[in-house]
Amino acid sequence: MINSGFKPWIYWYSSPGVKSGEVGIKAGSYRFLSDSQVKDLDYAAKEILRRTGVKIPNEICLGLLEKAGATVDFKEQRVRIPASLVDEAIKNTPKSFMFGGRDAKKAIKIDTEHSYFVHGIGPYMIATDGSVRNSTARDMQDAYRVLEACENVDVAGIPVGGTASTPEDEMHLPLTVRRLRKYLMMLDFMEKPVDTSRTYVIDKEDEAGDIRQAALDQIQMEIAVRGSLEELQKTPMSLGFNEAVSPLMYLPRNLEKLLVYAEHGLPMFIGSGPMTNATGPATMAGTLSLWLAETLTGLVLGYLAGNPDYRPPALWMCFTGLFDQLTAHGPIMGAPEGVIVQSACADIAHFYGFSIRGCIGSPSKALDPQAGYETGVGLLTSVMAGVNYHVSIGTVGPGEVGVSLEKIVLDNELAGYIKRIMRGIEVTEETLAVDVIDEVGPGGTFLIHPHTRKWFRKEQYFPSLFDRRKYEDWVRRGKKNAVQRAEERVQEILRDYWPEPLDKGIRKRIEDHVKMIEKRMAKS
Amino acid sequence: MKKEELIKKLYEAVKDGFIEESGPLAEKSVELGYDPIEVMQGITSALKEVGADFNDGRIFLTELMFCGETAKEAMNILTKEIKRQKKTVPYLGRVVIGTVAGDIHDIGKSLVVAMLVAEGFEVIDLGIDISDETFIDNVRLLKPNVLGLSALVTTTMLKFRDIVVALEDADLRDKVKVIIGGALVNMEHAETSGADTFGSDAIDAVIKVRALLDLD
Ligand code: B12
Repeated sequence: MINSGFKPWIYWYSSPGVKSGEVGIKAGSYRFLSDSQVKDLDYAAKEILRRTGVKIPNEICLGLLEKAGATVDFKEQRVRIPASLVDEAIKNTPKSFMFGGRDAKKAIKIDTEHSYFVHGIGPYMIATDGSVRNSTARDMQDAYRVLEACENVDVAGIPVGGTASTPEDEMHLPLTVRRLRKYLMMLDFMEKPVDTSRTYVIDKEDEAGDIRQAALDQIQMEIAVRGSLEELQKTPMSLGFNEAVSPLMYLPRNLEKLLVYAEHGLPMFIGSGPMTNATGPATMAGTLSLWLAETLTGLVLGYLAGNPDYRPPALWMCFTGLFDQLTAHGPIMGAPEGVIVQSACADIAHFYGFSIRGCIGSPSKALDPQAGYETGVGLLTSVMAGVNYHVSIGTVGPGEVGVSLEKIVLDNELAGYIKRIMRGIEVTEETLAVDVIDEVGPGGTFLIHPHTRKWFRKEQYFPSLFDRRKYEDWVRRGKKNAVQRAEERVQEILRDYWPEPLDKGIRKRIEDHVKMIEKRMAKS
Repeated sequence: MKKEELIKKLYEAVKDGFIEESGPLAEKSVELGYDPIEVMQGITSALKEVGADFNDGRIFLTELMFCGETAKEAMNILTKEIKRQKKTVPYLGRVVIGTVAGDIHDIGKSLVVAMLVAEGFEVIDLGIDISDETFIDNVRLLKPNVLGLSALVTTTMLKFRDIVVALEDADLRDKVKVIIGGALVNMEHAETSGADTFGSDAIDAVIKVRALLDLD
């Protein structure tokens, strides 16, 4: 899908070969599981749901499940779900939808065909040498600017979460208000879609049962941006994040959130992240069967709670990783085992027609070859396997504990390579170039042929960070390695690049909404 | 079976994780009237060695934890016997631990618990999402030497400070050492929250708890 926006700045830095703002790519089709293996997993997951069941600590959900024919033990809050109900949910849940930022026209289509690069989340800022510090509100803005400037990052995450990134003078405000103010700041800086799904970090208010209100407040804010719920449903700005806690549990607050998004007909992430060896079995197939059982539970819940007039679509997710037996740390998403399990999830999700979000990263603490290799191998593998939404661009450490601005620009380059690889090879009479080869003949050169001039820009990806110069040239330019060049790139972006400001009218509507909530909270 | 032989067998059972053997061996030692405290020492020395093996990368986590389970089978029997004889179990100290309110992260804390138990501490694990009051009540009631707090999310990490203040308000702060931990926690958090120290992982937790109680 081609983004119509043309930014001179981005053009200057980005590859002139790949069209600036090329959003997303075609998902790959390499398979880790055959159809018959997927059917075995389907059987295993349904058997888990029938025999063992899932803990669902929410009365409304339990009621819905019982009414739909599941076996419910209200005292144990345990539900055993029949395969027929699972199949009904699979059949009736919408499988693709649009997802957009402040400008609905620049939305991306989430489906099994496309593949997008998405920034991760991390509470700390990590320097290139691996030193760690708390993030500030300024870091958050900086991260948005870098993300917006990186042409191969399709969706921004919450760059730096946590209380540290709240400005001092906002610390006294209720969490919901702080959250929404951060959201507003994001919209100030980001034209791309922003994945806010993991911002519901709980605190006292949510403990008191206000997670529902918090979700409603966010949805109301998005309605203020789009103008109406109908417009928001057409182009949602956020997804409910409905993760199961492995093994086989849901959390009360996640269920609350699920209900709110479902009632509004808004899309949801559903899935889980069993850690191989710890919260999931040691085998890849076992990790997958557990993940699938948990994911199908989320699907059934979303379907039953869903607004029948506007069924909430689902994007499946898997954030599993290896729990390393040697170091007792996890999840190691960059481990080969993490990579294949997440990639195999694409085979499973696509089998049912759903798209899938994966999560790839490296447990390396610094920006070193390990971080590069693991991110590269992981991302390319999962893109080739057809994962549709790749979280964790720009994060460092096991389970994305830190954000590195330099890694964002390095991963942006990696994503550029991958986008080019996945664009594949165009074979036509013209590209086969038989006539051209005949014209040039033995011993000639193609360098100045018009065919070359016409095609090289389309065919070649031009790295803007990775170095291909001659040795002497590289020495003359200061012998800088990729990490040093990334540091410079970040500085350039922060010096020169400012995103388009948010539309004044929309900004006012959002501000009014946040003020209204502040008042409401001051009263209670 | 001679006492020395039995202790050696038990030591080997724990080191190799022969879970079917450790319980019956402990029962046998009770039957034969051997001093349960002495028998227990065989188990703790085995656990120390497997702990070191894990630390040095010679064995894997599952194996380490399985050795712990194997030890537990025997420990339960021996502890019962020690109590029956009205003697005190020679624990290194008592630790109350839990994950703070609003936080349900469990895995790291459970590892810490397993390592502390293996080291020879008496550990009372309160579980996850534990309110400040529950922590205070348990400190008052159980009089532990150490209170361990786990939190993994930056917002729930603010609870460390709240709990330390609540301990002060309840006049309990000088009666218990406080150690904090979690994926994002560092020494700075220990300082700002008023905790005594922090543990970066389960092995570090054991080292720090030992140090807090002047055991080295
Ligand atoms: C697994 C996991 C989960 C699982 C937990 C399952 C379970 N049964 O525990 C699930 C999926 C439920 C989950 C939920 C959430 N999570 Co979570 N989770 C993780 C993850 C990926 C790994 C944690 C883990 O188990 N690691 C393995 C263990 C062995 O390591 P550890 O916990 O660090 O423990 C070691 C040390 O820290 C230390 N230690 C731990 N406790 C103690 C205590 C003492 C006293 C001592 C001395 C030492 C000590 O010793 C341990 C052993 O070595 C981390 C990322 C990460 N890398 O940490 C995110 C992470 C902690 N989660 C995060 C978030 C945001 C959440 C959610 C809020 C997401 C959401 N929006 O719903 C919820 C919150 C739920 C809640 N209310 O608590 C964020 C926190 C970000 C932030 N700003 O603070 C992290 C960092 C991931 C991320 N980048 O987004 N999570």
